[in-house]
Amino acid sequence: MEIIVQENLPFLSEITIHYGGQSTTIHNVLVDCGSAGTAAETDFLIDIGILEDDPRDQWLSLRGIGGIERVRQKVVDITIGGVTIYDFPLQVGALGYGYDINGIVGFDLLVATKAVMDYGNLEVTFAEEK
Amino acid sequence: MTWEEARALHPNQWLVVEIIQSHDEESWNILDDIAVLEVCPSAQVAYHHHQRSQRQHPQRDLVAIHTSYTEGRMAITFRGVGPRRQDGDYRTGKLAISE
Repeated sequence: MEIIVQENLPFLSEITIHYGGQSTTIHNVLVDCGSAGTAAETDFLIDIGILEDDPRDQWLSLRGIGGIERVRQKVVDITIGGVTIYDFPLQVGALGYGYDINGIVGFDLLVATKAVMDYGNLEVTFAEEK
Repeated sequence: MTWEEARALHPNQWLVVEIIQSHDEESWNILDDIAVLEVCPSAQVAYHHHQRSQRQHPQRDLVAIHTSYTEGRMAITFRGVGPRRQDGDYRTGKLAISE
Protein backbone atom coordinates (compact mmCIF):
# COMPACT_ATOMS: atom_id res chain seq x y z
CA MET A 1 0.00 0.00 0.00
CA GLU A 2 1.30 3.39 -1.00
CA ILE A 3 2.35 5.94 1.62
CA ILE A 4 0.95 9.25 0.44
CA VAL A 5 2.82 12.32 1.65
CA GLN A 6 0.58 15.28 2.44
CA GLU A 7 1.71 18.31 4.40
CA ASN A 8 4.99 16.38 4.66
CA LEU A 9 3.29 13.71 6.73
CA PRO A 10 2.67 10.03 5.90
CA PHE A 11 -0.91 9.09 5.03
CA LEU A 12 -2.70 5.99 3.83
CA SER A 13 -5.47 6.42 1.28
CA GLU A 14 -8.01 4.32 3.17
CA ILE A 15 -8.92 2.01 5.99
CA THR A 16 -12.27 0.26 6.38
CA ILE A 17 -14.05 0.04 9.71
CA HIS A 18 -16.55 -2.77 10.32
CA TYR A 19 -19.04 -2.44 13.16
CA GLY A 20 -22.34 -4.14 13.93
CA GLY A 21 -22.46 -5.83 10.53
CA GLN A 22 -21.88 -2.57 8.66
CA SER A 23 -18.77 -1.10 7.09
CA THR A 24 -17.44 2.25 6.05
CA THR A 25 -14.21 3.39 4.46
CA ILE A 26 -12.24 6.34 5.81
CA HIS A 27 -9.78 8.22 3.63
CA ASN A 28 -6.75 10.32 4.53
CA VAL A 29 -5.50 8.42 7.52
CA LEU A 30 -2.27 9.48 9.17
CA VAL A 31 0.33 6.87 10.06
CA ASP A 32 1.60 7.85 13.50
CA CYS A 33 3.73 5.45 15.50
CA GLY A 34 3.86 8.19 18.16
CA SER A 35 0.21 7.52 18.87
CA ALA A 36 -0.30 4.51 21.13
CA GLY A 37 -3.78 3.92 19.81
CA THR A 38 -5.70 4.02 16.54
CA ALA A 39 -8.37 6.65 16.11
CA ALA A 40 -11.06 7.83 13.74
CA GLU A 41 -13.17 10.94 13.39
CA THR A 42 -16.68 10.17 14.67
CA ASP A 43 -18.46 11.96 11.82
CA PHE A 44 -17.44 9.25 9.34
CA LEU A 45 -18.71 6.45 11.56
CA ILE A 46 -22.18 7.66 12.52
CA ASP A 47 -23.75 5.88 9.53
CA ILE A 48 -22.58 2.48 10.77
CA GLY A 49 -24.05 3.08 14.21
CA ILE A 50 -20.78 3.71 16.01
CA LEU A 51 -22.44 6.05 18.49
CA GLU A 52 -24.69 3.32 19.86
CA ASP A 53 -24.01 2.16 23.35
CA ASP A 54 -22.03 -1.07 23.56
CA PRO A 55 -21.00 -2.93 26.72
CA ARG A 56 -17.50 -3.27 25.23
CA ASP A 57 -17.06 0.52 25.15
CA GLN A 58 -14.28 2.00 27.25
CA TRP A 59 -13.36 5.56 28.03
CA LEU A 60 -9.72 6.55 28.05
CA SER A 61 -7.68 9.36 29.49
CA LEU A 62 -5.73 10.57 26.48
CA ARG A 63 -2.43 12.37 27.07
CA GLY A 64 -0.44 14.47 24.65
CA ILE A 65 1.08 17.88 24.20
CA GLY A 66 -2.39 19.39 24.11
CA GLY A 67 -3.00 18.20 27.67
CA ILE A 68 -5.57 15.72 28.90
CA GLU A 69 -8.61 14.69 26.92
CA ARG A 70 -11.22 11.98 27.37
CA VAL A 71 -11.90 9.66 24.48
CA ARG A 72 -14.28 6.79 23.84
CA GLN A 73 -12.91 3.50 22.66
CA LYS A 74 -15.01 1.05 20.64
CA VAL A 75 -14.24 -2.52 19.66
CA VAL A 76 -14.37 -2.87 15.84
CA ASP A 77 -12.86 -4.81 12.97
CA ILE A 78 -10.46 -2.96 10.67
CA THR A 79 -9.39 -3.75 7.12
CA ILE A 80 -6.17 -2.14 5.97
CA GLY A 81 -4.20 -3.01 2.87
CA GLY A 82 -5.99 -6.33 2.35
CA VAL A 83 -5.59 -7.46 5.96
CA THR A 84 -8.44 -7.55 8.45
CA ILE A 85 -7.91 -7.42 12.17
CA TYR A 86 -10.81 -8.39 14.43
CA ASP A 87 -11.92 -7.10 17.84
CA PHE A 88 -9.60 -4.14 17.69
CA PRO A 89 -9.81 -1.03 19.91
CA LEU A 90 -10.63 2.15 18.01
CA GLN A 91 -10.73 5.56 19.66
CA VAL A 92 -13.62 7.59 18.30
CA GLY A 93 -14.02 11.30 18.75
CA ALA A 94 -13.40 14.66 17.21
CA LEU A 95 -9.72 14.60 16.27
CA GLY A 96 -9.78 18.36 15.97
CA TYR A 97 -6.49 18.88 14.15
CA GLY A 98 -8.10 21.55 12.02
CA TYR A 99 -6.99 19.97 8.79
CA ASP A 100 -7.68 16.91 6.75
CA ILE A 101 -6.80 14.01 9.07
CA ASN A 102 -9.76 11.67 9.30
CA GLY A 103 -8.07 8.94 11.27
CA ILE A 104 -4.82 7.82 12.85
CA VAL A 105 -3.18 4.45 12.33
CA GLY A 106 -1.40 4.15 15.66
CA PHE A 107 1.39 1.97 16.95
CA ASP A 108 -1.07 -0.72 18.09
CA LEU A 109 -2.49 -1.26 14.59
CA LEU A 110 0.96 -1.19 12.98
CA VAL A 111 2.06 -3.95 15.36
CA ALA A 112 -1.17 -5.96 15.05
CA THR A 113 -0.99 -5.96 11.24
CA LYS A 114 2.78 -6.58 11.24
CA ALA A 115 3.29 -3.48 9.16
CA VAL A 116 6.59 -3.00 7.41
CA MET A 117 7.27 0.59 6.44
CA ASP A 118 9.48 1.02 3.41
CA TYR A 119 10.37 4.69 3.46
CA GLY A 120 12.71 4.35 0.49
CA ASN A 121 9.84 3.35 -1.75
CA LEU A 122 7.10 5.03 0.29
CA GLU A 123 5.24 1.78 0.70
CA VAL A 124 3.83 -0.15 3.61
CA THR A 125 3.10 -3.87 3.59
CA PHE A 126 0.95 -5.73 6.07
CA ALA A 127 1.01 -9.28 7.38
CA GLU A 128 -0.58 -11.15 4.52
CA GLU A 129 0.72 -9.05 1.66
CA LYS A 130 3.68 -10.30 -0.29
CA MET B 1 -20.25 12.95 43.31
CA THR B 2 -18.63 9.68 42.34
CA TRP B 3 -19.18 7.99 38.99
CA GLU B 4 -20.97 5.22 40.86
CA GLU B 5 -23.43 7.75 42.29
CA ALA B 6 -23.97 9.31 38.86
CA ARG B 7 -24.71 5.88 37.41
CA ALA B 8 -27.21 5.13 40.16
CA LEU B 9 -28.98 8.47 39.58
CA HIS B 10 -29.02 8.17 35.77
CA PRO B 11 -29.17 4.52 34.74
CA ASN B 12 -28.78 3.78 31.02
CA GLN B 13 -28.29 7.42 30.04
CA TRP B 14 -25.95 9.53 28.00
CA LEU B 15 -24.44 12.31 30.09
CA VAL B 16 -22.14 15.26 29.68
CA VAL B 17 -19.91 15.08 32.72
CA GLU B 18 -17.24 17.32 34.15
CA ILE B 19 -14.38 15.64 35.96
CA ILE B 20 -13.76 17.94 38.91
CA GLN B 21 -10.97 15.86 40.40
CA SER B 22 -9.07 12.79 39.28
CA HIS B 23 -5.70 11.23 39.97
CA ASP B 24 -3.43 8.70 38.30
CA GLU B 25 -2.59 5.29 39.69
CA GLU B 26 -0.19 3.38 37.48
CA SER B 27 -1.86 3.14 34.09
CA TRP B 28 -5.27 4.37 35.29
CA ASN B 29 -6.84 7.77 35.79
CA ILE B 30 -9.19 7.43 38.78
CA LEU B 31 -12.28 9.67 38.81
CA ASP B 32 -12.56 11.08 42.33
CA ASP B 33 -15.22 13.75 41.90
CA ILE B 34 -17.47 14.43 38.94
CA ALA B 35 -20.45 16.64 38.16
CA VAL B 36 -23.27 15.73 35.80
CA LEU B 37 -23.78 18.78 33.58
CA GLU B 38 -26.42 17.35 31.27
CA VAL B 39 -28.58 14.29 30.84
CA CYS B 40 -28.98 13.67 27.10
CA PRO B 41 -31.59 11.74 25.13
CA SER B 42 -29.06 10.24 22.70
CA ALA B 43 -25.38 9.79 21.98
CA GLN B 44 -25.63 12.36 19.19
CA VAL B 45 -26.96 15.01 21.55
CA ALA B 46 -24.36 14.16 24.19
CA TYR B 47 -21.50 14.37 21.66
CA HIS B 48 -22.83 17.61 20.24
CA HIS B 49 -23.29 19.28 23.61
CA HIS B 50 -19.93 18.03 24.84
CA GLN B 51 -18.18 19.45 21.79
CA ARG B 52 -19.89 22.80 22.18
CA SER B 53 -19.16 23.04 25.93
CA GLN B 54 -15.54 21.94 25.49
CA ARG B 55 -15.01 24.63 22.84
CA GLN B 56 -16.47 27.23 25.16
CA HIS B 57 -14.44 26.02 28.13
CA PRO B 58 -11.22 24.47 26.81
CA GLN B 59 -9.69 24.28 30.30
CA ARG B 60 -12.47 22.15 31.76
CA ASP B 61 -12.22 18.38 31.79
CA LEU B 62 -15.45 17.33 30.05
CA VAL B 63 -16.64 14.07 28.53
CA ALA B 64 -19.72 12.62 26.85
CA ILE B 65 -20.22 9.26 28.47
CA HIS B 66 -22.87 6.55 28.89
CA THR B 67 -23.70 5.22 32.34
CA SER B 68 -23.35 1.64 31.16
CA TYR B 69 -19.63 2.26 31.66
CA THR B 70 -19.06 0.50 34.95
CA GLU B 71 -15.57 1.67 35.82
CA GLY B 72 -14.89 4.76 37.86
CA ARG B 73 -11.54 4.99 36.12
CA MET B 74 -10.12 5.40 32.63
CA ALA B 75 -7.06 3.73 31.12
CA ILE B 76 -4.30 6.20 30.29
CA THR B 77 -3.12 6.26 26.69
CA PHE B 78 -0.75 8.50 24.75
CA ARG B 79 -1.01 10.26 21.43
CA GLY B 80 2.57 11.42 21.16
CA VAL B 81 2.98 15.07 20.38
CA GLY B 82 0.33 15.07 17.68
CA PRO B 83 1.13 15.49 14.01
CA ARG B 84 3.60 18.33 13.45
CA ARG B 85 3.22 19.29 9.84
CA GLN B 86 5.57 21.71 8.19
CA ASP B 87 6.16 23.36 4.85
CA GLY B 88 9.00 22.59 2.47
CA ASP B 89 10.19 19.33 0.98
CA TYR B 90 10.29 16.27 3.22
CA ARG B 91 13.01 14.84 0.96
CA THR B 92 16.04 16.57 2.41
CA GLY B 93 19.60 15.91 3.59
CA LYS B 94 22.35 13.93 1.89
CA LEU B 95 22.64 10.21 2.49
CA ALA B 96 26.07 8.58 2.77
CA ILE B 97 26.34 4.85 3.43
CA SER B 98 29.25 3.79 5.64
CA GLU B 99 31.51 0.98 4.51
